[in-house]
Amino acid sequence: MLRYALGRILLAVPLLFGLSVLSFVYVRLIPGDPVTAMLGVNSNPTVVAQLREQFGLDRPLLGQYGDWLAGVMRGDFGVSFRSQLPISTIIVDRIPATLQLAGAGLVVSLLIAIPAGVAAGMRPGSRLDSLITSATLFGLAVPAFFLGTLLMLFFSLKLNLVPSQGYVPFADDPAQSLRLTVLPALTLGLAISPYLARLTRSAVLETAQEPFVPFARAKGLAPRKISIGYVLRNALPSLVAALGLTVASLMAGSIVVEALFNWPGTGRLVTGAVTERDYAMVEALLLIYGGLFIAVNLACEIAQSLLDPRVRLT
Amino acid sequence: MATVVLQVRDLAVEFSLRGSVARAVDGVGFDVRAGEIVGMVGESGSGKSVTMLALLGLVPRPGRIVAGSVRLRDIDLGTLSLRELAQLRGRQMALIPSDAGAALNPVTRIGAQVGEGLAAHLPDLPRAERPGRILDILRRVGLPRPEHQVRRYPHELSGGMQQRVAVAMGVQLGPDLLIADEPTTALDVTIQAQILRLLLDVREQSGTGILFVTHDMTTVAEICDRVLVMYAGQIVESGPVVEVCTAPAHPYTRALLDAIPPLGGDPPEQLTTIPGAPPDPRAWPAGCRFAERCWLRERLGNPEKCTSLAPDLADLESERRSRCHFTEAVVR
Ligand SMILES: Nc1ncnc2c1ncn2[C@@H]1O[C@H](COP(=O)(O)OP(=O)(O)O)[C@@H](O)[C@H]1O
Ligand SMILES: [Mg+2]
Repeated sequence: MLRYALGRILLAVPLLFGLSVLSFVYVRLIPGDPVTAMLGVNSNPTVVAQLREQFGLDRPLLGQYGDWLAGVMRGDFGVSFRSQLPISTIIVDRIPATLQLAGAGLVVSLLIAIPAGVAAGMRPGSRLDSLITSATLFGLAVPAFFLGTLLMLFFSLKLNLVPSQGYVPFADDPAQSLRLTVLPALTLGLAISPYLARLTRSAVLETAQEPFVPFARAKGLAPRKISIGYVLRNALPSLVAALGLTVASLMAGSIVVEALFNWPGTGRLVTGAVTERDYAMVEALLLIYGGLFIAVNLACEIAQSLLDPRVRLT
Repeated sequence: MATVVLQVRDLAVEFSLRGSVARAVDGVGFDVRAGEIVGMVGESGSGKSVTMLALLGLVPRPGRIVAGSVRLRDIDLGTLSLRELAQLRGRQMALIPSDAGAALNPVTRIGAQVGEGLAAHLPDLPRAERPGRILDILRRVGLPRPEHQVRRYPHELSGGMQQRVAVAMGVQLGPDLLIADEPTTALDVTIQAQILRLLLDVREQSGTGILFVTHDMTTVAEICDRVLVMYAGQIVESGPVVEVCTAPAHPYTRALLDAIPPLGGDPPEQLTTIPGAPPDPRAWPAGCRFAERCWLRERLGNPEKCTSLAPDLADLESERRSRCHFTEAVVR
């Protein structure tokens, strides 16, 4: 097992390296100069040159990349062009808020998508299946910001059940923090449920057609035992893999939801850094989001192999 | 004569798909007695598996039983609730699958998997007694070193051992009827012989009635007492194995026997040696369903009766039946 896991982790290294190159190059391909963008087109050329030097933008690309990568290895992503503060400090400050939202959103989506996907996949073609399938298609078509706006209008402005926007750290005021989490988490959860429900349905559907399911019935086992011990248990490895892929939707969704609900997480940093052409910040976020996606999928892949005794763990 | 454990009458199963209806099993009836091995033979697609599933009440959707009755000893299965039927399965009648490698749960260890049947059907059996029972039954089916195998997963066993485990699951609660649907097709020849031997032992030791499905006439001749020949959803001939094999009364049986390769050759994967293909179950022909491929009909100068009138399954001498207008011509 250890060797298998080590092998997978080693395979992720070139992937991470490629990601770092892409993050770096991508930002430099964006048209427009960050300093000009910051100071405006009619700024003093001397000041521009001075700033370019300060950020190292006048040096050869390869040298810039080398320095940047060396910094990243030490956890130093450089300084924000905008605020002049260390990027790592800015990001670390935002992480608790983002984790709270993403975690709650994930729980919401699991609670919706897994039962729905299982119910649909167990009885394909049934009325319940058609209902769930149409609902997921509808869900895929509705953008998260639209869904979030609707929820906000209804639950907070009309029914006044929960506050509409804002964030309080959990440690400061747990009750208020949770109240504020309800709507963004619901929006995020509903936004990613359709993906997860579809992946669950197809994993369950595929497993339900394996010959061991009718054989389990022929043995006279109880339907509950068959659904859980046979179908779900055998679909579990694919479900874990599906969960890994859903993380991408979770990240994308949280960027939109954070903007909509004025939630001060890393998603807000992404929107801010892109509009403000904060090169160093965009680079750092691309690398972190991408790296996280790779890491989560790596973990899911290892978990998947642990769940299936047929995978040889040597 | 031994008691009848299974009595099937006029069984019919239909699959409705997009407007068309396929009557995959059409008026099948037969008995299985205690301690008897009854073979069901026929080309693939003739309705053997659907018949077996119907006995177990497990016809997959969109199929359903549309007519007939199934009695297991003195219980009419048609009157049972789904729950009661589930309680009979695995206990009074058990299935031995064709490919145990695919039918065993890949993520559950052998011991635990054999124990599931005990837990489901003998809830009062103390937990502590289960391991002993599991080892006993695995030993009985000749699984080498059972105390070692119970800790393994199905994929770690050879095909022959997997099939032994499947047989163990089938016989562990002493069922009246064992339904074996092509239990040896996935195995190589020597292992096939071992599994057939095992089924004969089971019959010997516990007097279980066995319904043995195969597409291979040679296997029928080896282990069965009586045989039912299926064609296009119907039984076309039935009778004691020796008589059916030495003097078939239906042209289709004759053709099946002629398709057996000479002694020493490999048994056929599938009987493709009869020219032509079976008719479409969504539109059975009006007369005899075998007429189109029948060598006898050709020899008799294509009598009109064959394609206009459906032959009945007529009684011949004791225990023998044939569904042919010209049975005497086959026997001769
Ligand atoms: N799941 C199904 N859906 C539709 N038709 C089916 C299904 N299963 C079986 N059938 C029909 O039943 C016929 C008999 O199948 P089967 O009993 O599996 O044949 P055998 O076991 O003799 O090879 C098939 O030709 C097909 O028309
Ligand atoms: Mg079959």
